[in-house]
This record gives sequence, structure tokens and C-alpha cells, in this order.
Amino acid sequence: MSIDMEQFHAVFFDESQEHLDDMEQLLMALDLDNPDPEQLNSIFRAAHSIKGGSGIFGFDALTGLTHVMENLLDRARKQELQLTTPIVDLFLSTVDLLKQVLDAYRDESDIPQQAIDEGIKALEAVTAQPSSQSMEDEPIESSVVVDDADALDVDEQEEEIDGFGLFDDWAPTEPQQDGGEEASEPSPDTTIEGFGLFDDDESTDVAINPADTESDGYGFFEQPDPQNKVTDPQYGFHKPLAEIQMDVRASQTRSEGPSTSKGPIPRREAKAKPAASKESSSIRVDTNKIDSMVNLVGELVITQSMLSMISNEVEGKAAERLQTAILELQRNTREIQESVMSMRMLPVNMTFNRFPRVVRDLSQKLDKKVELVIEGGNTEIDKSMIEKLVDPLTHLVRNSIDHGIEKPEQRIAAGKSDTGTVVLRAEQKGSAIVISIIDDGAGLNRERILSKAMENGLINDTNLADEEVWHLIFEPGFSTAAEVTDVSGRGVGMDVVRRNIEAIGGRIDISSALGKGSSFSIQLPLTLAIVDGMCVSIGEQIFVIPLVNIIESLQPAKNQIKYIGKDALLWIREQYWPLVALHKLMDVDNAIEDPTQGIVVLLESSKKRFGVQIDALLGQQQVVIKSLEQHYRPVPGISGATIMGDGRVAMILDPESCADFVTERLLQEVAS
Amino acid sequence: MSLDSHMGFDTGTGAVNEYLSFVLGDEHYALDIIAVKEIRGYETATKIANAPPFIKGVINLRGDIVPIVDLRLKFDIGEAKYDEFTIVIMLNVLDRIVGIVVDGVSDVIRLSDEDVRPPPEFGVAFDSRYLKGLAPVDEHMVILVNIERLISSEELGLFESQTVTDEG
Repeated sequence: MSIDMEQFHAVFFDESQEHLDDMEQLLMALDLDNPDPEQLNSIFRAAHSIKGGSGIFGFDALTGLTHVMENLLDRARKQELQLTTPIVDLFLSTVDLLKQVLDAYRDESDIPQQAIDEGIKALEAVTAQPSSQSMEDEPIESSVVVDDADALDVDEQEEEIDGFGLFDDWAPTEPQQDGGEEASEPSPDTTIEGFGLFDDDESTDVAINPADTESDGYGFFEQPDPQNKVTDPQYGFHKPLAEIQMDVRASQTRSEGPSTSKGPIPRREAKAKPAASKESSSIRVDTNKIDSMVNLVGELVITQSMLSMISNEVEGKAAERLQTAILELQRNTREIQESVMSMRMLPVNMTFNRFPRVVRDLSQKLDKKVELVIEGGNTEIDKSMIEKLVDPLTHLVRNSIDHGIEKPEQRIAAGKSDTGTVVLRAEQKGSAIVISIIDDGAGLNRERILSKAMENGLINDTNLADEEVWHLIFEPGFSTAAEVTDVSGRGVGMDVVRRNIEAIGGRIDISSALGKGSSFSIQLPLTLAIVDGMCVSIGEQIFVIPLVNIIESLQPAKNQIKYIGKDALLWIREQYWPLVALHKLMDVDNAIEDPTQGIVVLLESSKKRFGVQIDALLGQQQVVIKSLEQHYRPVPGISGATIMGDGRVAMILDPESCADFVTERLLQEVAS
Repeated sequence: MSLDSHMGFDTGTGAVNEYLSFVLGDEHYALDIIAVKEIRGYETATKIANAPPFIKGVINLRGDIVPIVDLRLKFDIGEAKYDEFTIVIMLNVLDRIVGIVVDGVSDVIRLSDEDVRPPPEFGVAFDSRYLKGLAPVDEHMVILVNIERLISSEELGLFESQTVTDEG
């Protein structure tokens, strides 16, 4: 039995994680003065789902914490509890705590019981406060009801509150329908009388409200309690329903009850339905299954191109028909490939959505006013990149807020608005995705960076272009923060950011203007699985060079090739470029030795620019990147392999590590 | 009865394992058949830069990029010739696929633990670490290879050295 349950654990963890992320986003988006009931409901539902699931699987720590949170959320969505920033903060920290607990269950590590107890205590402290404004008006009366009666009265009271919302907002015919559905004997007379009460408060008030000494009829709308007493005799049908509910719910929380039967619920459900159908339109698929599909489709493409090569050799009547059929096949396989690839693509919002929280927390901590603007969140990138982008982006955003955006008073002194803006933007440019983090803060300080770099021995010459100066901040051990904060400025980080981005095939560029702000833009390949490449031949082998890195290719003239010892240089546009003979680097036989007989491709990596000598260009092609490490090991200068149309394997050149590899080799040669 | 003999229950009391025997030069080797994924003819592999000569390169095995090792070159046994009879045994070892080039595949043999004799401590090209034992089969001596240890060995360099230490 326990084994049977365990197979669902992973699903529960995934779904709970999503629910928690949703809760966080919704909490962040909540307008405190005028909270959207639909949003509050969604938050409540998320908490409720986690509670339900954790109850089933026996994750008691989760159940306990979500239970208290759910109660509070329930009051919030019924407008009994006025949401304030501290309460939302408390919810957010509870979400954090829930994430911790979830991780603890997932990793089977120790449950942070103490933190949970504290969290529950903090939530209960809020629960205990009569913080609803309407209740503050008549605190005594409401507390009387809660005290004398049990959950039944509370429920009923809540129902009445909901009922008021209904009467206020809706056409008068609506409640009648509701009553007809839910009550066994709706009395038209009393209903009409009831309406009289609301429409014509002055006169009917006295008549139907003998028990209540409240003189002001408007009090009904504010105070749930007297209304409760009044409506009881009038709407006789409420009572039995409440009694039934009491039985059903005797052991449950009061939070669940009313929402299922009364008041504005039909409206909520109507809104909830589209959301539910949206959920059911997607299914959870193991990424391994998608990967294997990507693989198989790749094979299909190869088989198809083999077929089309064979079809060229066929002659006669059948040839034409065969070729038409193969063209059709080609189109279909391409479409299959595209749609399979799109399965791996997710909107970059998956990463961006966490940043409102980051910005909120950080700006509070640093006493800065920051507005976060997210643009192009629907831009899609490869799933594996989404995960790997989180750390570098978080670091850059924190960095922008910590170092970039100034304190409000400094901003005003500089003639800017006191609220700083951080823009997080994603856009597709050709076959690349560009993600930019732009702030309107102080900008990078050239002098400070230079002096710091001198101090740390990173440079010994200050005569550098701005671009080069900005890139100094990515050097290991570089930090300009005047004091070390726990936000940033530990001297690690920016170099890690660059390394992380390069690891997913990206590049980072900085532009900055002192006093105006700075912009970090990250260029990423659309997907990790496919690269736009130039196929080149060296000897009998084929190599693929990523197009991103290619500046141009040319056949050098004799006078453009110069030598230092044995090492060749290429003289082009008034510059000497290092020239790497790829056949030597890659150990290929039967290649063209003389650079002037071959082709030189000028490459640019994030670190270096150099030319590589090859035999010939074969053509541009999109290739599927296959891992060499899966069954072998990383090879210097090579980022992976791909399978060509004829089924042969071609290596994909990695200009980044190529440059390092060349340097290393030269050093070795010098040493030996 | 026939089932029993097929299962090898009549050969003794010890556990019985199935091995795939293959030929390198004049010598007979065998490896645990569980590790064998498939057997195929040799095809030219794409060379990997700066790999040792016994790593012939990588091939495309239905979408996987798989390294090919020529054990004849590695252990200097026989003559490394490549023709239509050259055989590659594709192995599935430690979640990886590796192809080994051999001169020929002979048979599937069943050996009980009692049939296997301990390997000599020295005097063979194979490091005794990679040997499971020796077994007399018909006229020959069959060398049982601990293929998992051999493939993951640092000596072969198919795995990153870190992986090797991780896996003991």
C-alpha cells in the first residue's frame, strides 16, 4: 500500500510546488485596498489543494501549516479580514516555509518543526485579531455570537455576509433563483419582504427588526450579526440548510462550508470553470520521454534524407512519384520536428515570475523604491535553459537593485523620480533570445571599477575602452560594493554569472551611462538542442561551427599570412588575428596545409577573436546537438556532436573552449 | 527436462551465468552477456581529436553518439584490421553505451561459478583487475573479462576521471 502511494509522491511534490509558486505570484499581484475575490479564491484553492494532498499522503507538517493559513485566507476572501502589507508578508513567508517543508519531505530530510510551530503561531496571532473593519465597529456583538454558539453560527454569519454581497451587487431576481435551488420551501412573501428591507430601509427596518435596538438600518450592511438574527426568522429556509451543513462539517474546518453552497458562489464557480478546463488541457510528461522523442525524430529526419538521396538514383516512371512522396515526407518530418521541439519550449515567464517577489523583498530591505517591469514574458525558450537562467538572472536583478538603483533621496537629488525602475525584458532576435536587465540607476562607475581592478591586480593599464572596463566586473574576485552586504558584494557572483551564462551557450554584454543607468543583456540560443551552424570540411571529416560565432569567412591571399616562428597570423583590416589550423588542433589527416589554398573563418568568442583554417565551406544547416559526454567524455574544443544527413557523425566546434585549448597547447609546446 | 538443461540446472550447484565469447587474435575471451546490447559490423567512426589510438572515434547508434574502442590496439593482441568481418560488440555498461571492436564473436557459453578458475596474478596483457577468471571450454582457455571495470577504467579513459572515482 505504501509503495502504491509513493509513486504519487513525485506528482504531489510537483503540483504542490506549482501551487506554492502560484500562491506567491497571486499574493504579489494582490491589490490590498481592493482585493480581487477571484485572486483570493485562487490563493485559497491552492492552499486547500496542498492541504488535501498532504493529508492523503500523511505529510502532517504541511497539513498543519496549510490548515491555519487556509483558515486565514478563507476569512480574507470573505472580506472578514482586511489584508494589510504585514499580513501579505506573513503569507509570503509562510509560502517560503511551506516550500522548505515540501523540500524536506521530498529530500526525506528533517522537517523544520520549530519553524513550522513558529509559523503557525504567527498565523494564529493574526487569526485571533478581529482585524476586519466591519467587526471593529461592533466587536462585542460579534464575539458574543462566536462564543455562545459553535461553528454553526459562524457559518451562518458568514453566509449572511456573502448574501449581502449578493444583494448589493446583483439584480434582485438572482437571490430568488438561488433560494429556489437551495432551499426546500422558498417563501415568495418573505423574500419580497426581505427585499423591502434592503430597498426601503427606513420604514421596514422598524417593522421587521423588533429584536434589534439598532436605530440605523444601514448598520445591517456593516454588521453581520444583527442581520443574522433578523434574517433567521425571515428566511426560514436558511436554518435547516445550516443544520445539515453543521452535521456534514462537524469535524471539518468552517472555512470549507459556506463556500460550497451559498451567496456569490455561483459567480465564483462560473469564473473558476475556464481555469479548470485550461488545466486539463495540459498534461505532465516526463522530460525523458520528450528527449527520446526529439532523438527519434532526429533519426527520422536522417532516414528521410537518406531516402531522398536514394530517390535521386532511381530512374523511370517511378522516380517522379517517389520524389513527390519523399517531398511530402520531408515536409511532414519537418513539421513533426518543429512540434516536438516546441514541446521543450516554455515561456520565459517561468523564470521571470519569481522576480516581483525578489524585488519586493530586496527593496524593502534596502529602503529603496523599485518598480519592476516585465516585458516579453511569453517569449519561449528551452526548458533546460529556464532552470539554468534562474541563478544568473537573480544575481543580476539583485545587483541592479543593490548597486544600480539609488536611495530615494539620492534619486531626487539627481533629479530623477524617487522610484527606480528595473526592466526585465525578453525578446527573440533571429535565432537568439535576448534577455535584458535594465535599470535607471546610477550606472557603472568607470573610475571605481578601474581603481578596484588595479588594486586587485586585474589590470595594469587604465587606458581601456568602456566595454572592456565593464567586463572587468565579471573577473573572479571583483566587487565594487563599498561594504559587503548579504545582498551582493561578496566578490563572488558576477564571474559565476558569466560562467553560468556561457555554460548554456550565451553571452553577456553591458552598456552603461553614469547617472542614467545600466543594461545587462544576455544573448541566448533559442534552444540547447539545435544550433545554427556552418558545416565545413577538413580532410575527410565534417565539422560544424556555430553561426553565432562566425564573423566572416575568406580565402586569404599570400600576403595576408604572416608568421611568428611557426605560428601563423592573419593580417586583415589593419589587425593581426591569430590563425588556428583546425586540422592540427583536431588531429585530422589529409587536410589542406597551405592557408591560401583553404578557407579561413573568423570567429569571435566571448574572450577572443581568431581565425580558423579549414578546407572548404559546405553550407549552412541547423543541426541537432548530441552529447558526447553521455557515452564518452568532454572533448576540448568540441561542444558536442551531430548526425549528418548520411548518418555520419560530425563534431560541433566550441569556439570558447577552442581558444583556451589553443592557448593551453601553445603553453605546453613552449614548456616542452 | 529440456527446460532444465536450457536453464543450466544440470551443470552443478553453483550459480550459472551466460557469457558471450569472442576472439581477439588467437585468444578466446568472454564477457557477461547481460552487458551486451547488440552485435554489429564495423563501420568507420568519426575520429575524436587527441584521443588515444585505440579509441577509434564515435558512431551514430540510432541517435546516440557512441565511442568505439579497439581492444586489439589497447592490449596489443592480434592485428587491427578492419574488413567486412570485423565485429563491434555494443555494450551497455553503467548506463552508457560503448562499442568494442573484436576479431569475431564465437558463442554464448554457460559457466557455473565452479567452472571459473582464479586468474594469474601476472603474465597476461590484461591487468588482472579486469579479469574475472579463467575457464576451460572445449580445448580452449576462455578469459572472463570484468567488462564493467574495464570500460570504466581510467586506463581506457572513456569516463571522466571523476566518474571513475565516484563509481569506485
